[in-house]
Amino acid sequence: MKRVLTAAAFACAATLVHAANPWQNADMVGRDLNVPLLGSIGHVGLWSGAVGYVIEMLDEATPLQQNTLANFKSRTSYWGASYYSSLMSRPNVQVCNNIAYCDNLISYAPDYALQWQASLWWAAGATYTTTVFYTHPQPGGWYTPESPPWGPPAQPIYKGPTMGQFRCDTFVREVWRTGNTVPVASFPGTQLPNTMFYAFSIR
Amino acid sequence: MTFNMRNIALAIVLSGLSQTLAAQDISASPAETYLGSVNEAAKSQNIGDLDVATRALIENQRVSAQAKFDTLWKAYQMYRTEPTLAAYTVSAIGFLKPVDRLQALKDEFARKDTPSKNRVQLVQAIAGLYRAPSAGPALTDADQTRNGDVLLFLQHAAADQDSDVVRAAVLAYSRAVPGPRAAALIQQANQRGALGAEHFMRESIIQIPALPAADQDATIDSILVLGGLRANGPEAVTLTRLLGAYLKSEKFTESIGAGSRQKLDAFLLTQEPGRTPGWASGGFPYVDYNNWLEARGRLAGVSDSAMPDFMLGQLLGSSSGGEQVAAVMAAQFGPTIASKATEPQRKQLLQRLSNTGQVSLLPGVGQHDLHARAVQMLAR
Repeated sequence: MKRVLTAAAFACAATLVHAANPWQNADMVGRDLNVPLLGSIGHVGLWSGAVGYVIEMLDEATPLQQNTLANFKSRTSYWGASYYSSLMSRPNVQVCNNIAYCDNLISYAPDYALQWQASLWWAAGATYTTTVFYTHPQPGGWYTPESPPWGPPAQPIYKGPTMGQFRCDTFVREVWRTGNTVPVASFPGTQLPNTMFYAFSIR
Repeated sequence: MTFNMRNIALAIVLSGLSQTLAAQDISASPAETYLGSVNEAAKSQNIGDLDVATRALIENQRVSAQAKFDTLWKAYQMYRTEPTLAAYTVSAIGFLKPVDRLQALKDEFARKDTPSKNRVQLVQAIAGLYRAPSAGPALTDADQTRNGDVLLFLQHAAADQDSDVVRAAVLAYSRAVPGPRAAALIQQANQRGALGAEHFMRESIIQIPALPAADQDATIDSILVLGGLRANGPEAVTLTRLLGAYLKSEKFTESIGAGSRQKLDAFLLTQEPGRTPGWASGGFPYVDYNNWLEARGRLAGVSDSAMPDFMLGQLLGSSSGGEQVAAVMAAQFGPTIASKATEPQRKQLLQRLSNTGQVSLLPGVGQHDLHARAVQMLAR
């Protein structure tokens, strides 16, 4: 609770003093939560320079959205951007080449890999959860089910990608954790959007 | 002095510890502790405390899966009309995947006084009990029976009066068993206005490889109509992004008939990411541009090995600028293109990268890194 209050105080201060735009690929952007009395809990999204949009999980009919930065900033009080300061010293990250059928792992520079992952997950879609638990989307593919001994051989069947399940902070955290790019120990133990935003360097 | 300070520090630590232990009531069972935390969260509306308590319960190895379900279910029953807590506890139950509690979840869904938001979460929890067949061990009889029950439930829920329930049920069915039945449910839900353009387009695309040719053509026609309703509108941008993401897979695109491929390519040709007005002006969509170009190659039957030549030809043969070159160089085929390009071709691409300054960019936004990397790859 103390941590929540402290973070909320920082949030207010940040709004008053400095709310910079994101400028590095995969920066986290934050703002007040659009819920009366719970604004200080906050809302975070992933600024995707390589996509040109903020990718964010919202409790709406289409939960995983790509919105302009202007749209993100217009909804509530904008906090600014935060970032993992060691991002560019991390090794390259392997990610699936596509979400329809992952037939190849591609090695990308860490900032681009995180945005690639966010973009893949957007293509898969996700459902919203208010809990701290999450499920990663999985790429689709063809599989041949086991044939029954008395019938003809089974035919390959297409299984589409599975949807993810996130809330706003777990979405950003799980993208950042792709390939252990941002180590788990860097994240706050009790995680909410505000504690996560202020656990990293502020632009 | 040091000794005194140490004693004071020790006293503070012990005092804090005893207060923490007293507050937690170490004699309480995990269920009692959890329900106490939920009561506290109901008063304080503090999701952070609820996260900690729920994680402690679900990750407790000494508590059986059944006891975890019973505890969360009790918490849900206590607060089933309190939107935040009800949605939270049902969603947490969904992560438990309580395969032997399907009936309890269905009964709660069917109650007339269950709030809409709870019913949506219940649909998702029930859908999570479906076990997809896979290349691994065959499904047991119990799995198959439960799968049948889940799919039947989802079909019923897809005809519900509540659009949010319909959407949740159709999305779950679409992912569980892509094919003609799912495609029909998607169409029906869309006609009722329950899906929204993005869900309709995404789910329809996912059905394509699982449909017979005639159904495939009809599905593709329907998404192209929606994507083309408003020239350069948000639907066109979303459809372009989705098609780029899926059609860039060679195997996925191979499943599409020649006629539909031509229609898809004709649509993509009019929707170059970053060039048409529907795209945001806040930055260039590098990932989308690369996907779009790869998808156009796949629709033309270009294989993995021929893709670098195709992309290089497209970059050199069109009016591509620095953003387009950087987008392609940053992605999968960039390194191969850099190694295959001839000296004059590389000079031409570098020239386009150096002209980027003519294009309006947000100052300081990270795409400069992608441009710098592209220059590094080509200037060898």
